[in-house]
Amino acid sequence: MRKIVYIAAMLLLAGCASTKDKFSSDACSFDIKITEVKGTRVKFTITPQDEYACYAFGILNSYDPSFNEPAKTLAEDQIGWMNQRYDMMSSDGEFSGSFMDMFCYRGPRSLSKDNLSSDTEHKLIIMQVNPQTHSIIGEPVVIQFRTKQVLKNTSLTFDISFEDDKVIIVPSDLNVTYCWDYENKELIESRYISPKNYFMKLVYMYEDYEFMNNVLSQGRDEWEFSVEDPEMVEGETCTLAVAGYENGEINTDLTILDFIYHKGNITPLY
Amino acid sequence: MKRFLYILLLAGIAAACHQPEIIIEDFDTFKVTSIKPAPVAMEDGTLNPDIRLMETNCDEPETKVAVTTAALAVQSILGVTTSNSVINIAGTYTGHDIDGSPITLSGKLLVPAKGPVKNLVIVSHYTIGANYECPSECFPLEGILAAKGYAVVMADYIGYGITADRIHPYMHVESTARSVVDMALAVKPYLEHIGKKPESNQVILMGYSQGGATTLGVMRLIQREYFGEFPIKKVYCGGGPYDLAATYDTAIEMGKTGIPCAIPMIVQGVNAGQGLGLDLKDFFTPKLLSCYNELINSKQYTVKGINVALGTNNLHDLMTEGARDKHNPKTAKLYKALMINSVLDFWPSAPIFMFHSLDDQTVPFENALKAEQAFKGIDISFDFGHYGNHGNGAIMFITNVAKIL
Repeated sequence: MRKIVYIAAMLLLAGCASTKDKFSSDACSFDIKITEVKGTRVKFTITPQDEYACYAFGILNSYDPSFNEPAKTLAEDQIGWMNQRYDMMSSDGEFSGSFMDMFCYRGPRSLSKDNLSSDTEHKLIIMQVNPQTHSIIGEPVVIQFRTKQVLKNTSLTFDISFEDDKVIIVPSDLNVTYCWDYENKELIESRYISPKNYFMKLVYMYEDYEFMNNVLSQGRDEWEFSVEDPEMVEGETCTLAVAGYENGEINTDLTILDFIYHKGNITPLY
Repeated sequence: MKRFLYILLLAGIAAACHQPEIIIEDFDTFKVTSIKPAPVAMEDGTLNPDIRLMETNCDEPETKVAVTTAALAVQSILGVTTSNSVINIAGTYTGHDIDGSPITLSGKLLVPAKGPVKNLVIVSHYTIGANYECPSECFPLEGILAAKGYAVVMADYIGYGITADRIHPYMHVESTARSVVDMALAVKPYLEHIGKKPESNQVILMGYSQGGATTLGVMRLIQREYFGEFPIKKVYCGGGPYDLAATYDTAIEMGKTGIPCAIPMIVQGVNAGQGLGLDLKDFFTPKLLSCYNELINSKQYTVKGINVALGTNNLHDLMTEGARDKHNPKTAKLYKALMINSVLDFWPSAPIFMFHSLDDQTVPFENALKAEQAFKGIDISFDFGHYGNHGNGAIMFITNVAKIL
């Protein structure tokens, strides 16, 4: 009886086994849709017609000298870079990855690319790949798109001051919309490297989940920490960042200020 | 006189041959509270029934065959073991509290009873509800790797074990990862003291579900602060909520998840860990408010027990409109904290094996897809497949890890 159960268990395990290494070497077509283009971001979907087709993508902007090369050349440049990186990493004795997993996808995907240059032509290059030979199958697909223009409001500045337990933000134009946030300085630096990187990730997240309206301000804005954020830690060093916001985009450079929180006596670090 | 000296000599030789027992003493900060040898496989070849397996989903009856399958599957992959007997060493150590101050925490160290130790495996455990499920209180499944010649260290996290009276900062990556690393630091000198110093100073990181996300948090923390102490050989993470905002949002939008109590646990845990100051009344329905303290914070109930007691898989019965209100600044504050407690915002510098079942209804496969895109270009291998539900996935995950190790 135990043997029967054991065999059943092994058959169950075998049935659960994945087909992760299976790939198609026949060229297939791809259904590609650019679903959203913003000033610094693009979202797109890729659906291969063959579920076992492996593919990779790259995005190039018009500042790249090879931008106007034919699709095949662009794809070969992409795969060349991937091979270079793979060769470099796989020479490490501890390497255990695969070309497929490092660079390719299999099956439909919703993907995005952030931190693009605004108001710039870009090319999305998709190529079907043989993950064993690290080579292109069939003809690559190139879709060109232009990121939205973000009109920089270069005259907009922000005055940040502290009074008692409050931070007061006053834009030079009281009619514009802006957004601001503060967070523990060490957290920002250790996780996100720079306040700009953190702030952009925050904005992208708020936009993705439709919370952006909660963090927009207009005119003079006051924030009393002990009321709005009673968990503030005495002596904590924070970074505050402010930027203009219009039509779903940050349209100014960040104004950044560090401060040390003391209840009733906040110390700015100019 | 000669006979007396002869007897004395024989007694001395006998004393020298006696296997010294492990001395229980303070060493650095790791204090042993119990030592218990236990077999992985019983004499009849079956898995030790004391080894704690992940609970099956609420919706799936816990059939004898299902449990037997898991046990046989785990046993079958052990293969050649260097030591069937594993020593379970429970202990306490000094770690960091949420605010960074010292705190006494607990956990479990498992070592092979005989044979050398190849590496230290630092395990972050999966979601549990009852305190008796925490590593220091049981024989955790991942501990069977000790039979293959590894020292396995598993912290309880704040809120379990010796700190069971505390709210567990569930999915607050910084504190949970730090309690894992703190225990690894504490057991290092202890392992050397008991003659179980690993042959290699490279460590292996591993975790499933909550442990999967925490494992990436541990990797990030080690890369940032402890790279000299813990060079990483490889990271194994499975079924993890790596993008916490996406996990929460997907569950809230769908109105259901495989572990309904996990969503309020995320809100409570991140609120406590991140110091958000949120009032849970704004997020929990009266139904949940009336019982969450007893069901979740008493640590008397397993996750399955909590879900059964809640009597619903429908998140709308447990979470208020405010919990999913896009115009609510308090919810926005929660989402910011969820973003901060996600683990895809760093560049891993050691090989990663990432596993996820496409059929996982508990931790959405979307997390794996986000990790897939975030981690392109690094030394990574993915294992995505139809491995059944979240619990079955755990078995497959550890099966695969044991095969690769």
